[in-house]
Amino acid sequence: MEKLELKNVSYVYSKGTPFEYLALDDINLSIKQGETLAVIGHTGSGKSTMIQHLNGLFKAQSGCVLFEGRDIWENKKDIKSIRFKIGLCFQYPEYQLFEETVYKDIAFGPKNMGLEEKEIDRRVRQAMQYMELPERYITRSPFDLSGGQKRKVALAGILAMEPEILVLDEPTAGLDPSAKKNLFGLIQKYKEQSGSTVVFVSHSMEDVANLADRIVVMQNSKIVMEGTPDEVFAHADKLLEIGLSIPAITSIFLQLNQKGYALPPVYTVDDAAKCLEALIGGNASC
Amino acid sequence: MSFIECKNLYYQYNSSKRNAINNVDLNIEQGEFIAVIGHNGSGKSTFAKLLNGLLQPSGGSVLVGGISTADEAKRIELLQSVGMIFQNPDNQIVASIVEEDVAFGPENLGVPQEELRSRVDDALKTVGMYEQRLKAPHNLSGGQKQRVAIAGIIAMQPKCIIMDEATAMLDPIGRKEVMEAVRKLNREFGITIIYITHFMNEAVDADRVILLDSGEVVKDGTPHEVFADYDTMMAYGLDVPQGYQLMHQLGIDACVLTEKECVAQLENLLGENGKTRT
Repeated sequence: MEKLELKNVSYVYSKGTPFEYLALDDINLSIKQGETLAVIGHTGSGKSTMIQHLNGLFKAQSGCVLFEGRDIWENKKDIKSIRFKIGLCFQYPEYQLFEETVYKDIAFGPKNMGLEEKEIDRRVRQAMQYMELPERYITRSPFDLSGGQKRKVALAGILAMEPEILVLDEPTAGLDPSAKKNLFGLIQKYKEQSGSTVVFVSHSMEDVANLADRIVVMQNSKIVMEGTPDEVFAHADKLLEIGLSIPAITSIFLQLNQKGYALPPVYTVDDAAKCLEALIGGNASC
Repeated sequence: MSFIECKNLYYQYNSSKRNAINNVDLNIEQGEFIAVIGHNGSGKSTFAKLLNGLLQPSGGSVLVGGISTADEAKRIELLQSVGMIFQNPDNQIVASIVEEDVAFGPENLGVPQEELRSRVDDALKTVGMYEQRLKAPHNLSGGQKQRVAIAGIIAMQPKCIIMDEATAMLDPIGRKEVMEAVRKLNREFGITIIYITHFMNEAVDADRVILLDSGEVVKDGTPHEVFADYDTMMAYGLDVPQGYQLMHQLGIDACVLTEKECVAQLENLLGENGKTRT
């Protein structure tokens, strides 16, 4: 059984007005337990509208969203518990910090779940560990931290709800290269340790190639491509045509092939290095 | 005399014990395209704000066109000649119609009506937003909003534009649009560009790169000079283009910054190995 499914989901903004806009057009998508799914597409392609359907922030105007086979809107009262199971982290989540200490901010979610004090405490500390936030931060104001640390606190607040699916809208936007590497590393580690499913939106094809098990490409409110990084990046022309890019390393190999080489498609620097080492070492192919 | 001269420049925030900018000495010439890089907290934004007088030096001085940024009487003149674009496109739009937003700056400078009209039109045409002049800014994409913000600066006829991570919130297309608009201003109008960015592939396109760390200039030179040492870049918490990373993993000491350079280097390296047999 699929973990989460969108079936024929459509959504129209400002329906019935002259500003009517079809933001999602018959979307079908399955998300499997334990996978890392990347959603790519340029601004206005429907990515954000789609991910806000995943945990019922938006209600599909037609079609349905199934969590473990059950319609998340089957019983309207259950929608709150769905939002605990599917944790959604918006872009620049640090703007949503509001409590006076880091501890209270991270505890806000679990508190709303009605958990006991002891369980809340366990979860806050665990979430801080996942995000490698030092324990001394507990009493600090989140507003005194650096941008990168603030973002980790905001993310910890979502992890503390122990969601089964973590949905991240451009989690590393605005971070510097090392903070970005660090945060992706932590998300990866969290995923491995907790066994949860991760969905993320990104504009960086390099990051998508490095992290995702599967990629969904959106254009004009529709899903236009879906598959493993190998499958999706094999359609470089199509991606460029719809205003997306391919990883720089992929492009470099394609350019070499135009010059008469017969190199296989690659999507990460590691794979490219392995291939070239084999060729330089005298192998006929790689 | 250089266009911008920083002499023994220091800056310390009230709340902090250490200097956010620490003894910076550098000159910027009119017409240069400079990328400023460094990890978060390295002092990039503080440096930018010191250049147009939004912040006053705690020590040392900044001269723009020979005028000190500390000269109160010349403040308006300074702000007009050094414009600044910030990260968030939604935070820098003041009017409800694109052309009115662009007119805001020059209007405040007291530009007469007839001239105002032509300045606004020219500015919008330069960034390719003339067709959208009567639209509401909130209906534009992020890249379009940033271009409107740039037009608002151009309409004040500045000598220099500082971009403070102005493309951080944009998608790849928006980034390209903004980068092209800025490049055009630099090439065609000789406007000095100071481009603060975390995207290394944007930085390698500049004429000159300044690397800041702990408020100090640790590297200053052409992209190849600054990126020359791979390990140094990593030590400062930065990244390098993927082609350069590949060279490093192969154990080859070659600072290839563009895809073209990388392809050429690999062709050399591979020779006939890996070519299609005929």
